[in-house]
Amino acid sequence: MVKLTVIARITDGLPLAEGMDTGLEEKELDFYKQQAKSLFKRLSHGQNQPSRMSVETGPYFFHYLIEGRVCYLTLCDRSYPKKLAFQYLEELQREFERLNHSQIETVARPYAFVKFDIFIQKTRKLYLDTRTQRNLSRLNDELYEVQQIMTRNIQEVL
Amino acid sequence: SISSAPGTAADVKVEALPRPPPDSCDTFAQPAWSNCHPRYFELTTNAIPASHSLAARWHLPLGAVIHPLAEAPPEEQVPVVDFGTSGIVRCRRCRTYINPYDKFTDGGKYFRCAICNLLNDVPMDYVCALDEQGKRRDAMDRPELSQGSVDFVAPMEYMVRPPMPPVYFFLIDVSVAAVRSGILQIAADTIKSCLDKLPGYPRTQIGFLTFDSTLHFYSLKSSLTQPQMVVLAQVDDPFLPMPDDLLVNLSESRLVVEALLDSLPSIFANNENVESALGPALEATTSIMSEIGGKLLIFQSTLPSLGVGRLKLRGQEAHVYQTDREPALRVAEDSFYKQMAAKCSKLQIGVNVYAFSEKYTDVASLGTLAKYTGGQVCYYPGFHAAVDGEKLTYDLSRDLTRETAWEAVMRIRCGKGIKYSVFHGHFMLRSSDLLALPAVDCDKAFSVQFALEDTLLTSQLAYFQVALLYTSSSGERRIRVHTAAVPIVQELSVMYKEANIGAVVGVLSRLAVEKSLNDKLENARQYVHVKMVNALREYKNMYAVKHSLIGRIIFPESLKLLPLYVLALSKSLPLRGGFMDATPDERSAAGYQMMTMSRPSLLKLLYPALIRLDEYLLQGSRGGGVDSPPQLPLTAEVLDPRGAFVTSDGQRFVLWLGNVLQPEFVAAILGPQVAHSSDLRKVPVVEQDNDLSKRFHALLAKLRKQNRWCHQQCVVVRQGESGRELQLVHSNMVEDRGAGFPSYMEWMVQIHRQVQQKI
Amino acid sequence: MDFNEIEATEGLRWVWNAWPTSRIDAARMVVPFGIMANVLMPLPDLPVLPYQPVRCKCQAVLNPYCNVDYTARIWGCPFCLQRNYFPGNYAGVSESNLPAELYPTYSTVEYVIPQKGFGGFPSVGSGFSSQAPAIQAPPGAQIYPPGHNPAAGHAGYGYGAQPQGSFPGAHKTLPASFQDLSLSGPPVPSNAPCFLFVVDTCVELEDLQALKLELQHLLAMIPESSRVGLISFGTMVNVHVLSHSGYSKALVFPGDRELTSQRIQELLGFSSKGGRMARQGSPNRFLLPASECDFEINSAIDELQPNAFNVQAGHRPRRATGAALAVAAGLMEGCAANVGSRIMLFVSGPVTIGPGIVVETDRSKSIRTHQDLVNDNAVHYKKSCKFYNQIGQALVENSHVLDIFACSLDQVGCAEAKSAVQSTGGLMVLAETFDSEQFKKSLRKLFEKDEEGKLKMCFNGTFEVTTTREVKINGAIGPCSSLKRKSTSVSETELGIGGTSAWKLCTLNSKTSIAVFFEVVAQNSSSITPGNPFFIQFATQYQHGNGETRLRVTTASRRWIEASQEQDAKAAFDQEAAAAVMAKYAAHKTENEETFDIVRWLDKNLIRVASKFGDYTKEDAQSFRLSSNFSLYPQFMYHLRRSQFLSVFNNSPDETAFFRLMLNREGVVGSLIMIQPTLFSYSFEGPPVPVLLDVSSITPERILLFDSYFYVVVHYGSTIAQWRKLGYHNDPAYESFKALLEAPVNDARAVMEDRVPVPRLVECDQHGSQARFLLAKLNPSVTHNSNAYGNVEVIFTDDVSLQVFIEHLQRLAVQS
Ligand SMILES: [Zn+2]
Ligand SMILES: [Zn+2]
Repeated sequence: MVKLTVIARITDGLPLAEGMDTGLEEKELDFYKQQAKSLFKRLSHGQNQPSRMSVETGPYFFHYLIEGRVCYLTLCDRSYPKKLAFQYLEELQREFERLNHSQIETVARPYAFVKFDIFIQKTRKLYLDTRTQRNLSRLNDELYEVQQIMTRNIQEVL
Repeated sequence: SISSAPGTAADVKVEALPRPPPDSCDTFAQPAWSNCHPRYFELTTNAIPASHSLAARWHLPLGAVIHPLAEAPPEEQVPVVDFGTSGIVRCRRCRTYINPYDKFTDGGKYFRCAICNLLNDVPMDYVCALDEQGKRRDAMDRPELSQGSVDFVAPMEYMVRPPMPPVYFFLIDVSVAAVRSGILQIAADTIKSCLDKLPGYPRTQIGFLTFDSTLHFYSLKSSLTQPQMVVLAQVDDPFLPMPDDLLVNLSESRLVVEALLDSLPSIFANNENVESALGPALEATTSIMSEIGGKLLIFQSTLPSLGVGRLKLRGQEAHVYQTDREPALRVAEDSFYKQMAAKCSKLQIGVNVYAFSEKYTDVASLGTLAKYTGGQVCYYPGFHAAVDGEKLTYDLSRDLTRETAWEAVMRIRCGKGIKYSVFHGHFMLRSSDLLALPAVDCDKAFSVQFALEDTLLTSQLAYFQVALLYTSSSGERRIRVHTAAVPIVQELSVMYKEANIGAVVGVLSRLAVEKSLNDKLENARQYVHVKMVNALREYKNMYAVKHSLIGRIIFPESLKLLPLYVLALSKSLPLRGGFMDATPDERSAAGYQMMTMSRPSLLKLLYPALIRLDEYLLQGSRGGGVDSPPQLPLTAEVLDPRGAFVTSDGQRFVLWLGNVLQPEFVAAILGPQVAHSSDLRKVPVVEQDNDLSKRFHALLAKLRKQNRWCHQQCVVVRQGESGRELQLVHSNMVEDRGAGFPSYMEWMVQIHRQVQQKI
Repeated sequence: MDFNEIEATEGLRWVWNAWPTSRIDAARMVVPFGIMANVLMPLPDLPVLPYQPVRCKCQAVLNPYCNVDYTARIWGCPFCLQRNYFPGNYAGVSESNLPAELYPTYSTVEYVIPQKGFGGFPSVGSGFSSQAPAIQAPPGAQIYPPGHNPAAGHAGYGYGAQPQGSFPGAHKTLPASFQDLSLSGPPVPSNAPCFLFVVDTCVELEDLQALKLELQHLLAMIPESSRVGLISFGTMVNVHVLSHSGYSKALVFPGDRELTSQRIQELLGFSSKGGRMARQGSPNRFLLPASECDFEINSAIDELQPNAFNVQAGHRPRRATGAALAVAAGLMEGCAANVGSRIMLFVSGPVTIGPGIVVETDRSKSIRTHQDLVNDNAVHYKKSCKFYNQIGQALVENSHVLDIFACSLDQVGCAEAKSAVQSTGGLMVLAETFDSEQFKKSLRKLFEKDEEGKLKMCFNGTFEVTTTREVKINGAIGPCSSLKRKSTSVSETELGIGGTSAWKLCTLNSKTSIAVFFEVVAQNSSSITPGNPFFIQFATQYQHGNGETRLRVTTASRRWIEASQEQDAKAAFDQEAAAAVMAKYAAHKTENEETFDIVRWLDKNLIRVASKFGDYTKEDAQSFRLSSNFSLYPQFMYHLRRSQFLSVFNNSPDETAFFRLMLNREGVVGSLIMIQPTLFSYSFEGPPVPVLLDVSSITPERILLFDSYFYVVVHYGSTIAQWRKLGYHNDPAYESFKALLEAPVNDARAVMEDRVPVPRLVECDQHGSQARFLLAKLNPSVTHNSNAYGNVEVIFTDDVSLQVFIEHLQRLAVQS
């Protein structure tokens, strides 16, 4: 299940949008948000980062994808299918780019695209239950490949 | 500099006593230098004493009224400043925001903090050359360097989460009382009419919970056409019957929300339930809102009777008054409300309480929810849809559509040697000087008192900076900063000269109301009274000897209205008289209101305007045309039985009809049908198709316009309607004897005598 | 004696059709004195009498075995021997004007009890007064010859003109005017049964959709005057408001808390605490006549959504079945107390929260197995059983029935809930999905209607037994519960549900059967004369599908025998009834005893039977013979030992509960099929023939039709299967093969047509994986332990074969 979703700009780690609700306790949430922040910082410094990655942290996984200098990141239960997580992120990415493409580079204000949270929330709900027909068929989509996505541990990454 | 008025009482004519000039309530002094406008921050005196000893002789509160989001005319909107990702320039040590009083040095490389005097580096991309006077060349182009009020766009560090969307949650009592009085219908209609105007589209969220002895949840899932209602009868341990869709995005669920509002009144049209499980409903509501927070509007029509937070009838016995048990009537009886308020504050929930019952509802307890969450209490005793509907509609619309700051905190910083000592108003203190304000709006004011630190103040000016960190309805995190500088003085006389009666009354009123929560009413009044007398005595002592004015009462021009306002305050609803003079609910509601009122509203309330209506209107119809009718002193003596009079206290118009007033006039104003009605309580005053009435309503409209924070409804009372006349008219006649207090004239004599007394 | 023929007139199967005269002799008969009573068995010429029965002071009902003194208008009760006056309205009774209940051939009659408010008693009075032509003998009435019934030993009198056997039901002959008075009139809605659907929403959307359609289909079948209600549950329990409101509304209860019935009713707004006014409006917001809430309940069903609470990965859904049932019971108690009604639970997985929990949500914890139960490893089991017991008791007190439709691949908790279903006579259906034929057909069959268009289900039954003084009642086993009625007929020794002479049957139908156990208490010195008759009366009052309250009275007579006359005793033995009764008894014992002990008890019992009733030379096993009345009994016992009732291997506790529950209510015939399935062979060699329930019956050229009650298996021999695969049956040239293929399937469908719940039909080929359903039940004459030759089917089992079992039995029986 998706616990946290953040969209941030790669160049400076500026958060652009974030999902509204989570299934985490406040303390846990703070902890993983902090980790996400550190991740963004790493990404902004790093070169030639893989555009897709899964990062193991505690009982969860960060999955992220980088597209057009924007990082789409989500925190999921360990048992949540990777395939769905990345399809979720891709869905966010397509819509986010469609709506905000022209301004992504120029905004300075954090959460400048805060309105996007409505879409995040809506999409998240669709992906919540892995057993729905919609998600089952996504899981079975043989064309969709997640094998080559690297999985690392958070200690290695940070 | 000395305004000397009456010598002895015998010398003085009643007409000569000082009274507030028309429209004085709404008038502010022009801001000095680069100070913020006084509508945002207004000191009790614009002269800060340099020493403790001087401050001790001031006797009146050294403080200010703060109204951080006060509405300003369009041309005076607070400018928005965006520092981008580089961050807001602040003092490294005291975290004061950059302001016009910070001094740039070394060609603009450094700036000296006005508050703490620290020399700070100017960030590279903020450096600018200085002119001959040492001012930055770009000062006039940069609002933060030239204006006392700015809105900074907050960078990442000011957020623990993305800016929240505006959230409105309605918790509505639907017991029989709410249904019969028509509240439910009006509330539903009003909310529906405001849906387009709720701030924050398209992120705005909305939710509803109704309750009687049971809790009713509404699933507003966007895919539904009709809301699904789930009733929870087990209120002793409430839980949420569904995981989602109780609080929804308004734009997505718009149709379901409208369907609900359309059907709510009919759903409960035949409800006979008399119980009210407010406490459990609150628990459920806070669970629903816990993820985001937001604004919670509670519509309560009866005393909470079931589950946690159930309340009982109290304050019905006269003998409790004048005892130590008296103040307990004015604070929450059940710790539940305080705990719930603390929880709401933590969850970023701001609570507004709308109470309607004529019977005891324990507003004192209910209001606690608003008190600690930056909210307000609106009280409509004995609500009757036909008469009060318009007011509720207006007030609620205002509540839903006005500028609101979400998940806010407020802090005040003072220059060296000065510290804030205590805040008054509706908030919860998060740390020693940080006010938590889950939702605060343009109608909420606070007051603050300052104290001097042990060091002597050596600088010329004292600085104050109010900073409100908030999320705007549009989803931006911002910091509203108001900065002011005031001279530091060595002379007491300057302090008195620079005194601001409005701010003084603003602070004193809050002090008195707070005092009444832990002391007898009499002591609360006495508390203010003593402050005033001490101040006047001090002032007299300062000049009396020098000017041989022994035996005369003298006071500074700036405070000449102080006795009148203290008298009015003593006769105001929260403080007036004893058991007989106001119901506990009326007192509490008025007290809560006083704690959040802006200075203009407060002064209007304390000394309402009184107008002779018949003459004004008739003159007008003869083509005379007077723009503003003359204001009369507030004494029943002026109430000519041949005339019609209107009082306006900012919240209500009372139209008083003299016994021998021309019936044609009455018919013209009220309409022929109701003119002869024996019971005027439920008569709405609506515009009639005649000139008189039109002019009358034009006047009301004009007066209302000055006063946008609440709707002034108009009630009618006939001379001789004993109970109502006393309550609605005579209680407003603050210059007359009443509620154990003397007339204005006698009051002045009494004060004079007290001022003469040696301590 | 043809026991089946007797059953056809009485609805009774006696294990012993003649009883020894003393307690000691009786004890030596080994097999208990059980009577299997098919309480509402359809009887062809059952007189239906439109008036109140006449009862003795001992509550026995007037019957053909009573001694009647017509002149004194006194009748003697054959049970307590007291004399009673006829009531006033029997003034017209004479030898030539007999009421049907005294008519000698009518050992079973059925009264339609006039409903209060429709004249009631007076209408009966008019019946026997001479002015009431309706009851007068039709022209040409003949006096029935006295002494016709020798067993009764008293004169019987004819009343009707028709010859015996064609006497029409009394009310059929009644003129319309009389019917108007006593039988018709507006329906009394308070009496109409209620149907409360309790629907699990922790279901996959597709399955929920199927269930919703089925429920809506069902609603169309439910009589309009019946009240219906809907409770849906998942993590929460929602009671849907069905009164017209224009919006969807439900009352919600927590799923994880146990509430008392009183609290539930308070929350529903039925009762109130501390004198507070009940303000929820009238109770009937939840349970309304189908005609009034047709739209509301259909749309409420339409709107049911799968439980919205997220299921955590690795967890089961939070399903509050127990809480839902508690709410259902409370709701029904509050607004339909004592109205015969059904709570119908549709559930698709285990209870995971709240009362009645079976297993935690955490999937790493598995659902209890028989092994866990035996080892006391099932942490929730006892507590949950207790919870359902209480629910069951409450339901019984209010005449409510609990049905469980469990459509799940998992267990749902039927083992725990069994007592509540059994004591209320409810139905239990285990299927895999709500879309399965098995589920849908079973549900629809339950709501079948008779030729008058009335539901075939009956409600609110009480089953009373009256005995002669020498006989006492030990108890009963069946879908009933004790009414705790003490009478002189009640024995101290309990067998089944004892300590009472009357039982409650919350629901019953034409198949409902109860085994009643008796003992002879007469001492040797008593004055009973062998050869004389004794009597047992069964009186079943119930609410007929047409709303009438009826009382069926069967008065049966049997003779005392001299114990020394062994031939008489043997002739009186009904081995089928005995096997059925023993099976019920054994299943009943499983509630308190280990199955191992029960099997030993059955073995001992069988050895004693063989020992007592076999013909043999002592210590010579070869000489052992059993008379035809006993010949099948050992075989029945053999199969009973291996049956799913006692051998729980390979079955889940839920399945076992289901099997035992079904056995508990079945009559002799059904029970026997359950114990020893039938096996027919279809081949080209001739018409279908029964074959041995033995693995040797499987041959390549045969189609076998196997019926074990719960499964119907059509098993194609390998050759047949191959032909079928090759499509020969589609070739016109092989018309006969087509016919051969169709015959067993048609017969299977016919068998299934008659059964609720509908058995599962398995069609399988020899050597196919599905064949296990058949192999599991066949006598393992050839196992992997014996030498197998050629193409013989082998069953992998360590069970002893029937032959070995019989050999053991013979050896043990002849030991002295
Ligand atoms: Zn500083
Ligand atoms: Zn008797």
